[in-house]
Amino acid sequence: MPAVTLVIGTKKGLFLAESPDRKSKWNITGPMMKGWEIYGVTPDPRHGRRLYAAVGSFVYGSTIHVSDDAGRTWRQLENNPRYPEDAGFQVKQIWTVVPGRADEPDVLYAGVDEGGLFISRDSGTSWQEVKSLNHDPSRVEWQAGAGGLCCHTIMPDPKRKERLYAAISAVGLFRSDDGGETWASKNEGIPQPAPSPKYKYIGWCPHKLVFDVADSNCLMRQDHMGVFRSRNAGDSWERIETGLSSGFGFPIAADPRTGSYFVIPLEKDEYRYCPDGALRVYRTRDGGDSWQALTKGLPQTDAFTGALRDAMAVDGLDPCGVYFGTTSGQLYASADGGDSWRQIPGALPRILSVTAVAG
Amino acid sequence: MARAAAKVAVTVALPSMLWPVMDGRKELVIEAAMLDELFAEIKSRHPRLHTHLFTERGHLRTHVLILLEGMNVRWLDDWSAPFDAPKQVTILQAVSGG
Repeated sequence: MPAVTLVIGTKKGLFLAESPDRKSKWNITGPMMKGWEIYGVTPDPRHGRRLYAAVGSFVYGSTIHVSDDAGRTWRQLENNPRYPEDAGFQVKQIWTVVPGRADEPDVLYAGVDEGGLFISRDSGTSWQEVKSLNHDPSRVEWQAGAGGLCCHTIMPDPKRKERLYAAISAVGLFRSDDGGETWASKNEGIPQPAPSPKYKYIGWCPHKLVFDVADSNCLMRQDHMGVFRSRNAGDSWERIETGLSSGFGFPIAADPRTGSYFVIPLEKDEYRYCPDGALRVYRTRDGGDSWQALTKGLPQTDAFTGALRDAMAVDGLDPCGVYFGTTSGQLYASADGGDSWRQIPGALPRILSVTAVAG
Repeated sequence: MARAAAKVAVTVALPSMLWPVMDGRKELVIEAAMLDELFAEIKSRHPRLHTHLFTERGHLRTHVLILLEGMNVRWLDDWSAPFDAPKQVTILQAVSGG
């Protein structure tokens, strides 16, 4: 059994990269789901080696696929998140499938474009719209971001049963404290890139969020407008960019053992590739107070590429393995918490997501 | 009372991207008397396939091309016209899909 399996979602299929030691040799297999866009792959540790994948096509629409063998074989769910006819909008793309808490083994959440949240209480056999969020009065002024009007990040609070976060691109981060019955906008302290004339509580653009590894009241947020931290469950946010080459970027990942966080800065939203042609991952070991550039083994010249919000992962081993894939189809791995990197050989299609499965 | 139209064998050829949806099958044979019934049968018997051909509103997906004996079904006036003989249906990705 490999030490780590990377499940790589690309614009043209799904690949696996496996290594016995995370260092010397990586074996790539694929593509599976050839030609399909693999938006997000999420482990479901409640059910062994289960993974869910959000799979889409410009031509054939979007569905959810499930694997019970860490990505080696997949089957499409028969029923998928779909809006009712009177909703006024449709599911263009499923972005993410997220398992519920450990004590609710049949609960799944799905985030979609056109901006919405769905829940399944029977492991994906059926799906219900979370109308309280999807039909918020402000929806009349929701505007799609560059990637679409997507609910891309869903985070059930592991410590508080009724608390749930949902992030919608170009709309904002929302938090529910009653299991999804009601929602509140949680974006104070962050500049608004897309203010709404009437509904003042929308118009932010969260890119990706992670919980603090020890305290779920603390969140780290890679936003369109920079990198931020909240110590009060999103009630307020503070900018944490000391040492970063840029505050703009997409992915953010957390090492559960050391509490380190990783981001990949890009040069502003107009360009979206590495500042100065240097591919750098940044790490903070003090909760975001300062960031250090990680460059050993990463190209520091003529590297005009970037990484998308779901294209970075950690494996949770000791030392932590960190992995990311670029918009140019390159895949990089670190087996030492980011101190050094190597490119996994291969030229893949545009990488949309990277998921690490240990063992 | 008019007699119901007789069902015929309709061979449906699938595009390669949809073979995995049907466990690797490249074509299906479905008994149907007309196009409407063919699509209803696909929805009933093969919902995993149907969702890739039709939107949640029941409209044929914009970039899906379905040919009935070589004719684009979008140009047919009547999807309830009875079939007169076994038919060949081909599903393709339209050029508009890139």
